[in-house]
Amino acid sequence: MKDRLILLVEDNPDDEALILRALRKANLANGVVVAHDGVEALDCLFGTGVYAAREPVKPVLTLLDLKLPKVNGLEVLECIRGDDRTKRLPVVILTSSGEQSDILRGYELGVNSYVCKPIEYGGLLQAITQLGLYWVFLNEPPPDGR
Amino acid sequence: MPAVKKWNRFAPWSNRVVIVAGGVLATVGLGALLGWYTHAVALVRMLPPFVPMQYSTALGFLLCGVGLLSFVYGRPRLAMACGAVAAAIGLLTLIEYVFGTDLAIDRLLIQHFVTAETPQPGRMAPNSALSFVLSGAALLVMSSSTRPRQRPLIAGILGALIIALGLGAFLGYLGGVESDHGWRDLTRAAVQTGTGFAVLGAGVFATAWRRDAVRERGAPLWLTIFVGVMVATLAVALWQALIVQERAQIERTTVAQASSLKTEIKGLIEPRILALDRMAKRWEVRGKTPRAEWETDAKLLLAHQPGFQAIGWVDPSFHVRWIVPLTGNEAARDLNLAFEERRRGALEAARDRRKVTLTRSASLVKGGKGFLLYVPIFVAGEFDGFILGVFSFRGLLDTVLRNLAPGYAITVFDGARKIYSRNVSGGRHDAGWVKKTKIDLHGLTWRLRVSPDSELLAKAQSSLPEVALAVALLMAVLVTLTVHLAQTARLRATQTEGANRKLENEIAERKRAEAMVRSLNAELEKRVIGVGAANQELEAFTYSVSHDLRAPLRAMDGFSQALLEDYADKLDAEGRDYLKRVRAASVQMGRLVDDLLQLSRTGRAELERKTVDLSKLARATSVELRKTKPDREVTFDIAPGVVAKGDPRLLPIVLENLLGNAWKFTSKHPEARIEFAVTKKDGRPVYYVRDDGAGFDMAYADKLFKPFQRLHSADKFEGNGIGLATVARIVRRHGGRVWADSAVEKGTTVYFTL
Repeated sequence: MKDRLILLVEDNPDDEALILRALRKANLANGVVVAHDGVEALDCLFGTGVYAAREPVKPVLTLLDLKLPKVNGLEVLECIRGDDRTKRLPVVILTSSGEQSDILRGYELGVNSYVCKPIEYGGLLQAITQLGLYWVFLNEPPPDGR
Repeated sequence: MPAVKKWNRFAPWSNRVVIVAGGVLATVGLGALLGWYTHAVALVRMLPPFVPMQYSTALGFLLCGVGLLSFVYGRPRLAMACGAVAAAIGLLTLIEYVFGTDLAIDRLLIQHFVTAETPQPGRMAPNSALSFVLSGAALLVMSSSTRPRQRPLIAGILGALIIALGLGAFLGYLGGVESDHGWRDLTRAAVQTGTGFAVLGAGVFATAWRRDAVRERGAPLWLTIFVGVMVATLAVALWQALIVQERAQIERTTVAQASSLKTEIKGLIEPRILALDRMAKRWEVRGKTPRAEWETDAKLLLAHQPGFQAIGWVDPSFHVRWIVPLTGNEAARDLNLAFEERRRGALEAARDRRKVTLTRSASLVKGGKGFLLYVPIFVAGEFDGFILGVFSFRGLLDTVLRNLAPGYAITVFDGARKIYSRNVSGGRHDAGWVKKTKIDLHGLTWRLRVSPDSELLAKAQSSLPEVALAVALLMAVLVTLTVHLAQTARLRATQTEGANRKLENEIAERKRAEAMVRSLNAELEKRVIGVGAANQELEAFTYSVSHDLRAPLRAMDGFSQALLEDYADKLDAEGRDYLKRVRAASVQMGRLVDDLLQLSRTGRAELERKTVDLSKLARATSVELRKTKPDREVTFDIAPGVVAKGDPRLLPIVLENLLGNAWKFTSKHPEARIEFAVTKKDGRPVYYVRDDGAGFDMAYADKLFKPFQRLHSADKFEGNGIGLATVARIVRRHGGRVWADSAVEKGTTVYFTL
């Protein structure tokens, strides 16, 4: 299970802490990479910028916030889906926004799932647990050879 | 406005005419009156050849002049009085003429001393009388207060008639047509009178014009009628004058013919009398002319002087002894002429008077009618019979009259007996043209009647007057048309000018309006751009709100939870309670954020209208509500088939909020009933949600639909005061209305239209 990584793209440290806690509670915290803005997330996926020295990350699940500094979530998604190396990666948008336009745009760009962050922590905990269990353990990721 | 100025210039013009006319008339009238009072003939007559102006005429002129002047000086009552008196004078005079009576008004005020050629001393001419009636009527009409619109028109027409009558008289005088400046041979109007009436008419016209100019600022419309009436009247006057002149010509010719015929007839008879007288004288000188000599004389006479039927000698016993020619006169020989008493009387009278005597018409021996001529013979003072001349009327008169005065009918009467006539039966004899004259013969008077026969009349009476009338009337029509056209054209021009000005104003106005529309549009575009920018800003704002307000709330809730879970053992009960309160507050804040987002979203989205099944939506909402508290005893009474045209995304929010409120405010009651249905008001559907819950005081009803306004405290009913504001906004966006009816503890009904 060591290579089953989760990429969490989240700029809010509070949310990051809460999500990481939720993942920890669900025993999924071992392989989590956190990117704090859109650029970092893309660097991480394509092995560029601060991640240039490292092997590109191939997460089995990317939890993508939409409102991000520098490059926002939908632009990140567009880049992921626009590149042959990453276009099949499972991406789940996890955001506070329930805006119709965001949901619509997300699906148009080929997101695998769209989840609104519940305000109550209980709800968030439950959502993270379920997402993690489903995508890490249940879902079969795209083959490595592409 | 230039039009007003233009016509104001005309008012003084007409004023001046009125003043001048009134002044002249009053002066002339006053002068003539003074002349009558001071016996100054010069003043009455003005110029020697003129007919003197009658006293009443002068008085009329004075009155009319004063009347005209009193209009200018604003004294219509005085004008009315003057007009009434002038009209009365004229009317009474006309009555005198028409009925041939004498009302004694002609010499009422003054003894008539200047002899004018008038049938009635002191009486004015009939045309003057008529003119005064018209003038007086015009003054009365203009000074009366009734029927103000027609006043100038009537006065103008009267003025036209007066001018035409006056001008007719004046022109008639200049042209020598006597009968035009005085009708028939009644009183002849003075030339100054004719001129005076023309002036008076002008004054009346100007007064009428002045009235109209002040009132209508334009040439009066009746000017056309005025000109037409004036020219037509002049035309008729001219026609009359021509006819009268022709008639006078014919009459003069007839009189001349009669006079010439009289001379001819006398010239025919006198030499024959003289010839017989010569025979008588010879008889007297010779003692008694021998028969042979006498007969030679008589035969010569018969041969040289036609007309004799016979010549004879009558002896003192009145027996015809000699007669020449004998042939045909045998019956006369030895005829006693005094066989009848009347003849004997005549013969004896001729003998006693010793003068040539003509007998009345008698039957002649030879047949036919004739007369006898006796020349008494006295030899040495002793009566010795008569020389007798026998004439037949026809034989005598035909010799001269046959070829004289052709074309005239001639009749000669001896007393009542017609002794000769010619042409009378041939042509129709018009008694109106007959001229009579008397021929005095020795002791006898013959009457001669001469008249032109119809042929001659037809020749003498040319069609000139009729042609002149036709031409003049045509001219009247043409002049009237010209005036009318000129007036119409000027009116048109004025109207066109006005219309053009109006049009220009309109165009300028339109240009201004267009400029304004353009600037407004530009402003609007700017605003729209601004609004668009504002909308985008708002969207960005709400987007931020949805993210950035939620995140800290989640953090508060999340970390409180984490504290409770991970460090519960380190906190006492109070600490845990505080953390729970932090969590509750964050949850409530989250709901507030959600509601605010919904409220903002209802205002932004484009409205679309589709048929929405409200009943279905209400049922779905009721099911959702039941799920939240399944143990509550609530009856939902939802009318089936309620549909509405509206936005399918917004109408659910309305029903969710209203039914949610009903659910909420009935929560303190053990049993509740919530109703959704539709009713009608003013023909429009009114939807309503009714509950039997807590209700509210209607005194605060106006706060109900405003955001963040609450009528219940949070500890009784939770809520943030945004739901009904959202409902109100959605309903308003549909063009509808929302209102509530409620009473405390009796329940609430919220109505809305779409």
